[in-house]
Amino acid sequence: MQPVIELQDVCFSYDSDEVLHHVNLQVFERDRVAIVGPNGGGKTTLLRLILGLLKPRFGTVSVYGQPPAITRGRLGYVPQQVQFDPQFPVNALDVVLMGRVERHLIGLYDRADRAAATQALEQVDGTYLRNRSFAELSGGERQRVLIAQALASGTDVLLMDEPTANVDFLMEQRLYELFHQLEARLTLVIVSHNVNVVMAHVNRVVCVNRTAVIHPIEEVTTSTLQAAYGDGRTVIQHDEHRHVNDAAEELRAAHRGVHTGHDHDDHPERRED
Amino acid sequence: MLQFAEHVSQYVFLQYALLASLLASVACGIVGSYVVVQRRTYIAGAISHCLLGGMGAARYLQTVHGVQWFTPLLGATLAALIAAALIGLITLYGRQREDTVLSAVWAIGMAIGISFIACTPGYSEDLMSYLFGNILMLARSDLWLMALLNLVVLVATVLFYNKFLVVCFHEELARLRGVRVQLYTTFLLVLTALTVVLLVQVVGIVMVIALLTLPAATASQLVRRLSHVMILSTVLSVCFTVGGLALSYEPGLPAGATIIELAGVAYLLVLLGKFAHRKLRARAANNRRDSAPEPQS
Repeated sequence: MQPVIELQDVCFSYDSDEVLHHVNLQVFERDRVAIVGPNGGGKTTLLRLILGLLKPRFGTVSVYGQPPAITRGRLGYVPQQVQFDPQFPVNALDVVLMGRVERHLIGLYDRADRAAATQALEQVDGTYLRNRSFAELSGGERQRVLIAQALASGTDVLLMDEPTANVDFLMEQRLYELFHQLEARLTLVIVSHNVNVVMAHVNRVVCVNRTAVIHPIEEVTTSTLQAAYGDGRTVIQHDEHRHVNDAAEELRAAHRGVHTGHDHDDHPERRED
Repeated sequence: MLQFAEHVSQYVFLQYALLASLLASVACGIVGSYVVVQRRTYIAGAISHCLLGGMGAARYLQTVHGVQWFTPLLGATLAALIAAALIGLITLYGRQREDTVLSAVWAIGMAIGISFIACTPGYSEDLMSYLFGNILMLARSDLWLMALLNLVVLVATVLFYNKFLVVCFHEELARLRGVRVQLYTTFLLVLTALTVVLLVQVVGIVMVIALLTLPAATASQLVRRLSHVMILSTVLSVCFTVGGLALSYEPGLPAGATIIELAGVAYLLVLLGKFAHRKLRARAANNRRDSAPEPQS
């Protein structure tokens, strides 16, 4: 089976500072891969190499067997945050429709584009955002609009860079619920610092800290993480998705003013990060 | 105002001026919106000042060498396109600081224009009309060229609106979606150059930045989508150009300056209105909070 994404012996450096050293990685269809590692370890650089936004100093990167500059349109990418002019006159639907911009050489979006964008917004539970100015959305709402944009493009591969970095706990749970829904039909590559939470949603973990070490999820232990991070991190086992969903339900209940008997600050994921 | 309305039906030069105002407004509303949302006002400024080089060269060739077909408007169009291509090439591929490139194009264009003007006998009196515009002196051929340039801007905007929107919003996002960012950025520069040529006829080289940006900046305070900004900006441009022309006619004021003053006043009023609206809303919210019953513990 041909890998969707393949890195062979990739080295990359910013000037003389080598960030990635002889990295090999293969991502296959329906894979769910988490890229984890310490800050400055090269996670985002790895993602940008896959997208063809950076060129390796050595080695090759291919997407669907071709250089990423040719095939990256087939990848859906959700950045950590979009640096944009807050006064730019654009609403959420406009941003989602941008996912389909390459489908027409000339002319305006057609009915099929609008239907796909509307459906993508529904998938991320964001129909109510449709006509709201993108600049006025919260971090979590923007993140959902950007995921909708990637979905509207009709992609089979979703690459996400710290998708929950700028959102509150409740929104984080909602995003992970969404990834759980998407994992049956999409290949997911998630860059995350939140190791314990993201592990509940993937089948492989790539520990990146200048080099990349790939582990099947069942082999990830405290010692593998400590080797990657070089600190005292520990693995907290989650019971698949039930754990985070329960936590989300508790928080929703707390928002409704119902006493749950748990202190949310004691939540293991909160402690971990 | 009444005298203007009366004279429009009688004098061809006023009818031409009115038509030129309408033609300029469409391009101004559309391309001005792109310039404002991309924060590229100084690119328009550099191109507009570079026009003096083309106008001066054309008039020199007409007067000294008898090349009658090479009109100042044609010279301006050529100079604008060359300036846009230079700015595009140097900023996209040359890895130079954009402000340095713009300053160079701005000053060198003007310097070439002044040199040609100095070499052209009996020409210096026209300099003021190029710098500050003279919409009442337009010929029929100028209007045809303006109509053609307008058509190019309109067709390009309809055909490539989606591409331009994503490139203006976020270049990297556009690149990831397979859009050829450099191509569309250069195309937008060319459209800006053509629009500047149109507007120079109305307000002159010095004030073209104001006419290109003030209607779009005013519109962007009031609506929240680029397409809506373009439509409102076009409507405002029509109001400012026609209004300025009418207001300036009877007292014999320069039309270009009056148009810009009108646009400037409207922009300031909208800013003040928005400021007052924000203050009133904040006060109303405070009043609601103060009058709300205390929550029971």
